[in-house]
Amino acid sequence: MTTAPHLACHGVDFAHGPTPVLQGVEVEIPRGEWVGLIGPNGAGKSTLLNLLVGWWRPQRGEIRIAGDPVHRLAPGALARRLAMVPQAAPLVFGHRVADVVAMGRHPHQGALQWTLGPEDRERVALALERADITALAPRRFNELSGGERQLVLIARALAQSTEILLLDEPTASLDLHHQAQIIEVLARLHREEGTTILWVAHDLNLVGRVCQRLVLLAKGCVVADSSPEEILTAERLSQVYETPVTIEVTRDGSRRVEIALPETSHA
Amino acid sequence: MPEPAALPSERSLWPVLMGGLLLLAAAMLFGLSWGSTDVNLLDALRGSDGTEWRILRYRLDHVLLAAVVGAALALAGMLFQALLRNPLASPFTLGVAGGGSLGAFIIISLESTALGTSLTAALAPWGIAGARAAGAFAGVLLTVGLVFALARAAGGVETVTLLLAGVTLNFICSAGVILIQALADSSQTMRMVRWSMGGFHPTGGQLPATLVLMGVGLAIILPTLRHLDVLSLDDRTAHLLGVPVRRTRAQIILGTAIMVGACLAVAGPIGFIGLIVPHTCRLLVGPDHRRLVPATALGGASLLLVADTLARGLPAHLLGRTGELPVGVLTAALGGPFFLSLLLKMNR
Repeated sequence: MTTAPHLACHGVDFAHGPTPVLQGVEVEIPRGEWVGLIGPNGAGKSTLLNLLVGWWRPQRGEIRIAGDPVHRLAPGALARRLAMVPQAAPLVFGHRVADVVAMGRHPHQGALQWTLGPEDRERVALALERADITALAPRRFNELSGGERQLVLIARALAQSTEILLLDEPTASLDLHHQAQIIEVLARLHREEGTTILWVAHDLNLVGRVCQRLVLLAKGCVVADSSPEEILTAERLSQVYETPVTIEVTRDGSRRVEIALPETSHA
Repeated sequence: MPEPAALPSERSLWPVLMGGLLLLAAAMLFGLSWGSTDVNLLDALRGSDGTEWRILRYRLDHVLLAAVVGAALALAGMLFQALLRNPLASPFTLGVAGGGSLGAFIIISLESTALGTSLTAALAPWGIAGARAAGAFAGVLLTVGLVFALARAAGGVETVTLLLAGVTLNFICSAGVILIQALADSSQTMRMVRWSMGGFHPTGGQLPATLVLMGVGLAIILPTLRHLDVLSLDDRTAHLLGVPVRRTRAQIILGTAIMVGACLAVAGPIGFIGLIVPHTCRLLVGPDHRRLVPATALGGASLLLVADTLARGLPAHLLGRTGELPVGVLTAALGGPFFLSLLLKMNR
């Protein structure tokens, strides 16, 4: 059994032209851990995701999945090990929800296979059920609300049946009901399948409660990598986000992050 | 595990295949039976002298060419719409029309020169038509190669870069076309205008040469067809779902350029089919490419075949005169109202 971390960045540097975006990023995620990647806008979170999925290649350093360099894996092999839920997915043509979820089986289909096999159909049905969107299956993706679309994208990633799941702000701009629904789906996946999850998020209260570990990225560098209790301190967050922040410890021991707003006339 | 749901993606392929093949068979029968002369298929098959048989052979060449070109143009439009994620994309989007026209017009302008005469002699038995076809085909391949190289030099073959490079090169080629026309004499101008109208004028070697080129283009494209649904999302998502994006894109562009180059060489620029047939088929069978590919190919073949048959026969039957109508007029006249009525019905 391999002892290599499930997902690892070693000394990763990346620049868009002359502008450095990431510098010496060092992150290791063991198998089965649920990690939150946080940081201010422009810290390099989305860039790091693009490097982790092999879409871009770092100028220096290396990304490895269970010890294998990502850039050496063919797209199909990579897609069988790692899935990603993007922030949004524009669809030009009117695909239905079941078709979109079924696309998650694409990396598992052979070069001459253009239809879903029995296992593919079972996986798609299971993914629809787990995301609780079986009823939406015959509807057109473009007709759905933002929250429903996000659930479809999560179902597509579930149908992909990978050991690693990356999520790029999956609950951003969603109402409380859909946020809770997505957390429930992910928690079950993590608990029952042992899936390794890396979640990029701006909602510090949410990631602080659900993630086992947080990685704080600022100006292209990892400035802290520890438990939510260690990371979510008023001093650290105020410094990194350049905004006064207060922290309240709740009864269950979790941290509640609040911006220290100035007094307003109607307060 | 729960019972597998009845997935829309599992919609059957057979009704599409059977319907499309029946439509194509009916169109072929029409194309073989009808024309500018009153010789029907039975007459031709029973014909004692060789005249009816020659008419049937002439019609058969038309029918086969129109079917192959129609299928190829419609498929190319569908491929570019998926690849560029643009419902307005057509086979001519990446500068193909401009490049092909420029190639053909250069040959037409050379036809009365010594160089043109020796070129025509070199391409015997295909003669003048063969030289024009070779010019158009070379123009298409050079333009698409240049578009691809430009997009690549501009930092990766991104969709927007490809589109912009294609549109710009089309403008440049069109400027060349206008310059050649401005410098041409009236006879050359007439030949250029006739070429631009599009149409089939089968000669000895056209059909086999077209079939070989279509076969090569199709062989390059075939392995990419199963990626089209995923590729029509966006490049990064396609990569995340296991598609080798850059290789697939290069294959589609190369294969389509060969097919469309062959279409332009043999029939001139025939618009509309590549834009409207994929949309009509999407409305009828849905966006799933497993069903859309056969529907588009068979629909494009049938539409161009019927349009070409009418273009051959209508002047004699309606106007009592010889000659043919430009086939592009008929494809738009037949397909346009049908597509619009379908659009209104679907959106109601």
